Amino acid sequence: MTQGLTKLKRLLVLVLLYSSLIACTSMQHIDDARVIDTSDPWESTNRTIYNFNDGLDKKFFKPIASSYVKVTPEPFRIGATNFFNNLHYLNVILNNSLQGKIDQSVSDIFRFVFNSTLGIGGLFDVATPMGLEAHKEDVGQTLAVWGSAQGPYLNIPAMGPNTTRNLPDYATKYLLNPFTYLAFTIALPVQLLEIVNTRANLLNASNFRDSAAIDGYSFTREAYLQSRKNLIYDGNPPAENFDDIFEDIDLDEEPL
Amino acid sequence: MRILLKIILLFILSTMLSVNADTKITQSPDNVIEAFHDSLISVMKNSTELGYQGRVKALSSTIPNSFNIPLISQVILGRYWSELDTSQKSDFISLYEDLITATYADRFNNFDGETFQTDSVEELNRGRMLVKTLLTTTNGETVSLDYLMSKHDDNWMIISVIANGANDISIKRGEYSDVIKIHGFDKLIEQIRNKINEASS
Repeated sequence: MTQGLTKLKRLLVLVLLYSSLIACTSMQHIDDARVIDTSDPWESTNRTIYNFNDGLDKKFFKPIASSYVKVTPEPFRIGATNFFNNLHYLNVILNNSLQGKIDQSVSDIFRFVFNSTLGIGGLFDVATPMGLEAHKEDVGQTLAVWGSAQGPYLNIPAMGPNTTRNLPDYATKYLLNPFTYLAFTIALPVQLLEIVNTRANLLNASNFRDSAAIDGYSFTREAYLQSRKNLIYDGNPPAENFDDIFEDIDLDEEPL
Repeated sequence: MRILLKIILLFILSTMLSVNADTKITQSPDNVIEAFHDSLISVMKNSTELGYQGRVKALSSTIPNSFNIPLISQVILGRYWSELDTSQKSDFISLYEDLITATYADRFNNFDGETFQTDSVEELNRGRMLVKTLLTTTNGETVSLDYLMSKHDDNWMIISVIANGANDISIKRGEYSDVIKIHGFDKLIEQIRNKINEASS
């Protein structure tokens, strides 16, 4: 236990140092920090990893997730989703506080407490009907609010799209997950269930991508970066950003 | 005297008619979107009877009347647009219209009590407008659908759709640019045709 706490302290210091480094080396005006950077300087490597991930997904993850959906009743999957969302909610609360969202932080503390207790360990989302809405905050969003630039887009083997700015979120989620400190024999099956349940929840999204995309890699990159921007602005990005793409077009001139 | 009165009456009537002919009643941006949504709801409600081809036919006039497809095509292809000749531009515009129609005909293929609601209309730069709407399903799930609009020949037309914060035209622009960069324009055309064929199958 003592060794575990020492490891915890070391990891926490590393995460804070990394976050500070990212924030300091790429500080810019806060609004500019929230801009999407689609330049993709590591595109060649990212594409290779994307193709690897896609193959892995088609061969293993998607079939397993599809079978999981067939054999489990929907209430079970809803309960599992609620459980895992609640498990990671301490990370949401942490990042609320770091972003100065005090009201949201207080609301989310109550949400976490009610769902953990009345919701029986998070299996039931009793907080939302009480008006305690769920929020999605993470370290990447915190760093964006602090003024850190997005950094390069990257694909991580077996894990999918991300950006360098959001990488520390893996560490905080790991550190704030109670199952991290339990025996491997308990933590592993729970982790595997989370992976399968998460993939099952993304079946519709991946089917949509497969039907809509001409270039799956580019589609995923653009959609991911836009979803990140949406999260940074809490679902309400500035309307002006939507028509930036038309800035160099003369609307009075006919295209043909 | 009677003849004079008749002449005056005819003059007044003809003046009124010419005023009406000159006066264009332009739909407001939100009215354009509501009319578009009404078309979608109608197609969805009759989706089974219409079948895919019937939905395509039903949407084939709605889509070009609602979307400024030439402008969207130009923006989507970005810097590659100027490299195309007039025939290629025209072909791409026609093909992209078919893609939008096929996509909507494929996606809006059943009705389960969905409703559209217009939330707000916001003015942006250079007179463009953003109409914010919400699509709600019977189980309470919502999708925010925001429509970026600009005026073309006095008519408000859609130039982009933003679904849950994801700007469709930005996504396609990044995608199409990469396809042209790596495989060339002809490959992009071929893949768009494949997508249209997949939607019908």
